[in-house]
Amino acid sequence: MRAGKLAAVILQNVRRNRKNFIFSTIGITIGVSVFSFFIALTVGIREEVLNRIYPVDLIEVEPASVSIAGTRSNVERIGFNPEGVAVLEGIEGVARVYPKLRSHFQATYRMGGQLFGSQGVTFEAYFDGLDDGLLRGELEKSAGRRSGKTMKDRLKARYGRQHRCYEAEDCTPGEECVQGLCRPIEYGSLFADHSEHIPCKGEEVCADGYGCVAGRCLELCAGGEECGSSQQCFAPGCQVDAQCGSGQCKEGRCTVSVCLPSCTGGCPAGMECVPESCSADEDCRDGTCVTGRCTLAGTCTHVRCVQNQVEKELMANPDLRRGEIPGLCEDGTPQAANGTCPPARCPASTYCSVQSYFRPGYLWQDRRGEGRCELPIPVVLNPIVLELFNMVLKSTLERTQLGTLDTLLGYGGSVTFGHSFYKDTVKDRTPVEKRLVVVGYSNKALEAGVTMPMSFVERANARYKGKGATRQYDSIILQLAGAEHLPNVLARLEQFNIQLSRRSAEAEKFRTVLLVAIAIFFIMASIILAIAAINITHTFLMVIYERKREIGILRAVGATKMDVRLLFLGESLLIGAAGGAAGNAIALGLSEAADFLANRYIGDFPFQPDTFFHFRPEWVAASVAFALFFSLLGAFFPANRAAGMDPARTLTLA
Amino acid sequence: MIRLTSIHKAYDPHASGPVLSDASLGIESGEFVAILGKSGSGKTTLLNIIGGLDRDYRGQAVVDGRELKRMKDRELSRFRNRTISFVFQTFNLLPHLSCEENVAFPAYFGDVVPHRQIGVRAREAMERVGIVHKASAYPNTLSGGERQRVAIARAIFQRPKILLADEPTGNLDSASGQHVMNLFLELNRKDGVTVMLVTHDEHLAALAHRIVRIADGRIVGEEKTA
Repeated sequence: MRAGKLAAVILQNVRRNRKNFIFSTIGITIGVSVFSFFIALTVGIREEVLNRIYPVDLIEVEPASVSIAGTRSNVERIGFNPEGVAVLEGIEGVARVYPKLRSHFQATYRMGGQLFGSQGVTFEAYFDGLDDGLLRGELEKSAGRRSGKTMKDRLKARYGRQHRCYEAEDCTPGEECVQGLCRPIEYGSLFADHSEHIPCKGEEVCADGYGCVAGRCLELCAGGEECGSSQQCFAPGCQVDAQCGSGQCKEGRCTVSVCLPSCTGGCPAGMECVPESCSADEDCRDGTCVTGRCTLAGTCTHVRCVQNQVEKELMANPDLRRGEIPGLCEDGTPQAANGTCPPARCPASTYCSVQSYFRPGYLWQDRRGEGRCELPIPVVLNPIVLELFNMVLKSTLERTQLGTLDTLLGYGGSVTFGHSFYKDTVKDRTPVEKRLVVVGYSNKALEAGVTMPMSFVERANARYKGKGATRQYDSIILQLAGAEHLPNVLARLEQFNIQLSRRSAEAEKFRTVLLVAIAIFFIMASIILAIAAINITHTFLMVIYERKREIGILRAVGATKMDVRLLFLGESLLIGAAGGAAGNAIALGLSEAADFLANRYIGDFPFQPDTFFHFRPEWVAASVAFALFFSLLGAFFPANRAAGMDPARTLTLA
Repeated sequence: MIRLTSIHKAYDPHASGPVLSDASLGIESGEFVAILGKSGSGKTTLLNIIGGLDRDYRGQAVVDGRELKRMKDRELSRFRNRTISFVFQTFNLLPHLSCEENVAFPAYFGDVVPHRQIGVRAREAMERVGIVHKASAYPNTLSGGERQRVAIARAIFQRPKILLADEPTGNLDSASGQHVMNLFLELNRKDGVTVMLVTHDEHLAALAHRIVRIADGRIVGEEKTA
């Protein structure tokens, strides 16, 4: 019997036995809907929630340690340093390796008034550093979400609020002035290393790969193109060896080269070009004047500034904007009678980072001092911060609840390196206050602190704890080429005596829990489908009893046993297909309803996904395959019985 | 065309006796043979064996040159589809199909009739038995005689060599019965179809070329009709 004819007869029978067909389909539909709904929920939670907290292709490892007589010592076989990173990069299945470096010295945060009241709050600071490459994709995604959750919101943010501007102050917070129009700031792209001015007298305060050249820590280079597109590898002029760090001064030039921004094409914000000729050191901004020529001529250097009343106000309350302080110009001088002000020293996007204070020891009472114009340090927050704020600080500080993570983007704050409410271990180093700007959020960021670009933390650690603090990483994040490589990578890590970090270990536990959940739902659905299969068996036996004369007729006009078998199995396949489709449709409908109810009654919370459900094609296909399998299973015995019927008896005895 | 040799058949070994016992019979091509016997005498069993519906017997049944017992299920089904056809007392039409669909139903299980010819052949068969005007009707809307004519149309749809009719007029009034018998005679005479009619009616049996009498599972006599 040809397939087309077989299908035609099957459809005839289904049309005739609609009630039986629907009755048999109900059980399969329920089983498939339970299976699909819970699998989609589990996969959704894993992919939409858990993977955002603990990405499946990222594992964080820490040095393994053992406790011997109360003393913990590391037992890993490779160092958590650049050499160890190179070894880990060689493991099969590891795509990228990102070291993580925590702050190894004291610091304090001061966060602004909008969040914490007019005075702001100051608390002990913890931060770590991560390579911007690891966070880039996530930050770009968050930048896309910052203006709202719906496409309408995003379009409105992108096209609806454009208005003319001359500078950033003409735009609303969260916008920047680009080519005369206010545009939403792409915060994600701001998570990059903006070099800061680090004065030095010796190599110890400069990070690994940096040298104390021309009185400040500068990145060393070998003359190649390792400095990046906007920088040049430059051998500074000099008078004495001390100006060349680990190098020497030969014929008025250092034997070491450093990376410095080139004046060609203009200097970055907050920097100015060092002129060629000079008559005194002051003419050269940085470096010295040697025989009428600046030692750093042609390079960009941070603009010198004095933190005045405006900077103090801005530091105290980062929510304020330059020029908004009544009666004061942007540089702190009183406004003229007609309200006009002289040009500001630091460009609008920068601030005056004080290097030396007029009154050391009275940091919080009077933060005026001399410094350099710098861009704020971009920081990334962990989404848990929002939850902490809403759970704890909102009520204690009587602040309004923060709706979404996007509301934190662009928020400022300041961090004072070398200052602590606890035991001060960096007394011999001058505290330095830096401004921060929140440019994104990531689950890889520090939960109780902020995450900065890696190079900032390396330099800060070196500045306050010495050069060695930059070479020893606290943990390393391995990005896998795919989740399937995880077992192999874990086995290799075990050989190196490296253990999973607490987060990654928790992630493994959660994944195991979800796997168990999937297994439970699988078993539940299998039981329901098995019951449905029994129901199909029962229905088909009944149908076959009713149709035994018909089976005899089929055999009399030429149907083979296999034809009869295929007719019933074909009907069961239709039941399975219909049940599979209906079950998935019901599961989809239930998931939409569940999402709707969740959005309506639960409200926003950290890591909140757009949907809790993820209907992956392979699982949908699997659910239909299960439906077909159990339908066939249910019909197998009756179909065989029908095929084996004696046609003579069915025609004569019926 | 049909040669039965020492056919023995028993449904239940503990029952009083076999349904067929040492039944031997030969039927030539183009013959019209009536199997005459009382109810339970083994007529239908004999028909089922010849039609390949019943294979659980002893002895040898050769139809159209083929030993039925040696044929595999697929071959036997093909044989039932192409070589023989049945007409039953209870019509055995499929109630969910129209008359035309019932007539064309054997086409689902064979490729004797090309797909495009199925409709034409079905109507031809129905025209032959005078029921074409009921082509789109369903069996439950027809009289007994009309149903049997549809069943005969189904039987001749594949143009078989042998037609096996089991009490085809048993559920019909005498006029309808006569009409059905005329159809069998016409098929036998014009188309050369070998007809084997099972009946307990002496008058109907008298219309055949030959009468084979069967009693208690044994063939007890044969006689040629006038």
